Amino acid sequence: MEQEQLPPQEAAANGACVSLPQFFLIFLKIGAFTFGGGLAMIPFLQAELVERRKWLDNHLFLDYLALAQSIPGPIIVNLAVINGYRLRGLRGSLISLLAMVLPSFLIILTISMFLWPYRDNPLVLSAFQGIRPAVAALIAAAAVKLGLIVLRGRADLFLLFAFFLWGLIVFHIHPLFVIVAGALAGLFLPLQKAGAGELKE
Amino acid sequence: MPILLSLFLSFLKIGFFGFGGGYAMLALIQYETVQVNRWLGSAEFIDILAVAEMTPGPLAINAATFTGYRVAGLGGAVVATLGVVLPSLLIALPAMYLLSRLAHSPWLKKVMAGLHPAVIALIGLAAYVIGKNAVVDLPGALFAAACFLLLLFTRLHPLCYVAAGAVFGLIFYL
Repeated sequence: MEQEQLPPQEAAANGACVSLPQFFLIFLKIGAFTFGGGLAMIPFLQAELVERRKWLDNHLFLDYLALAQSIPGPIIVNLAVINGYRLRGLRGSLISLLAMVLPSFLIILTISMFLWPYRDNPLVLSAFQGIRPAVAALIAAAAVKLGLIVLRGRADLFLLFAFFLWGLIVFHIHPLFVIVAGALAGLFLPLQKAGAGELKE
Repeated sequence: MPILLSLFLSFLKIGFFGFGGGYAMLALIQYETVQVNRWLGSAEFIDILAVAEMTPGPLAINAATFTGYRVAGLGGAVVATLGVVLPSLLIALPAMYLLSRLAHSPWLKKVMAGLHPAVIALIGLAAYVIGKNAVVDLPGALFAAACFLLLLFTRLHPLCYVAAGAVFGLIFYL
């Protein structure tokens, strides 16, 4: 970890250091050029905010990452809101949220308007038919990788996971119910502390 | 209920209860858009995920914008996207005030310990539902299995799998 030249609190308190347009551009750049979903953006955000601009130190960034993962919503969107607020208050959080969402919104809008009509083309149709199993594999692999981080060596957590998955698949339990049941199980069952790993790719 | 309002409320619900990030939110999104409201077909839903893997941006935003546009045009895209990000704003800011106290609270650790298996189960459900709809024949199953093994044991970029899938599809299904 590098030594800070200026404590992040001071850098953040000094409004001149963090201009809103600059802030907007940073989040816009990350939102527009990072492929592979929100999780892929985290290292870029860390590089920009911590290493390049030195607005935060690594410790605080990791605290914020843990917070962004603990609350509902897309992790990178939470992270944008939190860092925006930390650096420039409510306006900062609105600006970073807008900048994070805008590229994705515009790209998907363009695709839906102009490219989706070509989905009925036989070439596109067969390509998508081949891509679908790959998408299923991507999500299954994400489940296994995250499961290995969180559930490894924890028979109680694994049982709870198996129980939830069984209920979801066999009895079509509502997904919201599983979220609530998980929180309640955590409160009332002796699950002790969570696995060492945080939820990340 | 007017369509814009029901789109907004659906995605607001997804945002409020979407613990565990994008992949865990997929189960909720699939439930709301395909099963309950029938805004999208199950194949179309998977194709949106494929597009989301090919384009920058968070998965949940991509899915919200796309579903909103398909259902109610530009206005739909705006309200669905707003709905899915609004909870982040409403929850993240108060949570920051509590961060110093919450970070080491045994109470939060307990809740998180129970939420982790729930979140993994939701991703498992998404994989199951999507797999059931995506894999329709033996070549597809073999291709999915090959992708799955490569994903577990190599660090290839997700785009590689989408590209390989397109080539596979053009060879086998054209």
